[in-house]
Amino acid sequence: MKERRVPPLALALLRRFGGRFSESLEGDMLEEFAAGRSLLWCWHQGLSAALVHAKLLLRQRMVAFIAAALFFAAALWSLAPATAPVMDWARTVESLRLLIQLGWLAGVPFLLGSVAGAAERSRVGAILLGAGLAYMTPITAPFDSAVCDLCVGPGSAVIPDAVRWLTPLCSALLAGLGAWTVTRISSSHREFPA
Amino acid sequence: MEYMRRRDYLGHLELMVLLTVWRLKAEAYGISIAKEIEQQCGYSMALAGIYSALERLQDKGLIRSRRGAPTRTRGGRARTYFDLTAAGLEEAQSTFHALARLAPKAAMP
Repeated sequence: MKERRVPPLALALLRRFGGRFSESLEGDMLEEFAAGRSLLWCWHQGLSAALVHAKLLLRQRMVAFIAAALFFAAALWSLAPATAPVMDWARTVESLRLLIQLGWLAGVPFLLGSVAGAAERSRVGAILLGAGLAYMTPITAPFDSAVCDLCVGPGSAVIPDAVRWLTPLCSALLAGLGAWTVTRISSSHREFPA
Repeated sequence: MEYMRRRDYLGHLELMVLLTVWRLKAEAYGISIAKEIEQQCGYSMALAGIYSALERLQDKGLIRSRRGAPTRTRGGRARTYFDLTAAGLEEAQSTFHALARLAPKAAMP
């Protein structure tokens, strides 16, 4: 008969997100599992630890989250034509499509990095997480095309897909910059381990 | 009154955990607190939520912790036991009495 084992990932989640008493938390899980708790219960405990950690960070760093969201909104707003005359003009200018696409490709990774910076505990971890998330940016390509269609009118993408898929490196750097910026802001008013 | 203005108010979960630590005395640790809350209140709580509340209570100086001996069933990890500090006992008593005073007579058992 196969030996029952606590899922290592559930245990790792407790270790990573368990806070000051993570060792006791791990021990409690092992003790309860030995007493007959199910694998599902272990996963519930591990995922709950991650959720509790996320809620705590969200509460503690609400200002950083809002700042990142506002920055992104302002970046998008500054690229999007706000008034009707500008809209009419924009429909005739193809280069605006390029600007919006570039703004998206730069804005999304910066936002992801900023969110990672606000959520992650260590600065290096934040930069790595932000950069990792930024590698996903090309997946959001349909959305930047949609924004372009909304602002400029229907048309084909200016940035070729081949080039778009070469951008993750730049995206990762931007995300790292976003994460670094937010962790700097955070560290200026509270303890932040480097 | 001055004390009331200065102190941090306890959340619902913190209050439940504080009262449970008071109730369990020397036997209060993660699992025993979770089981007691489940038995008495009917809430099934994640251990991480309980430890998070315990951290906050410790930061407020209402409880203190001590480590037990590591055991084999816990993979060599020690239990952390909690008990009330003098401030914690005062807080638990005053909150309990305040709630009892505020509750309508019909709600009392």
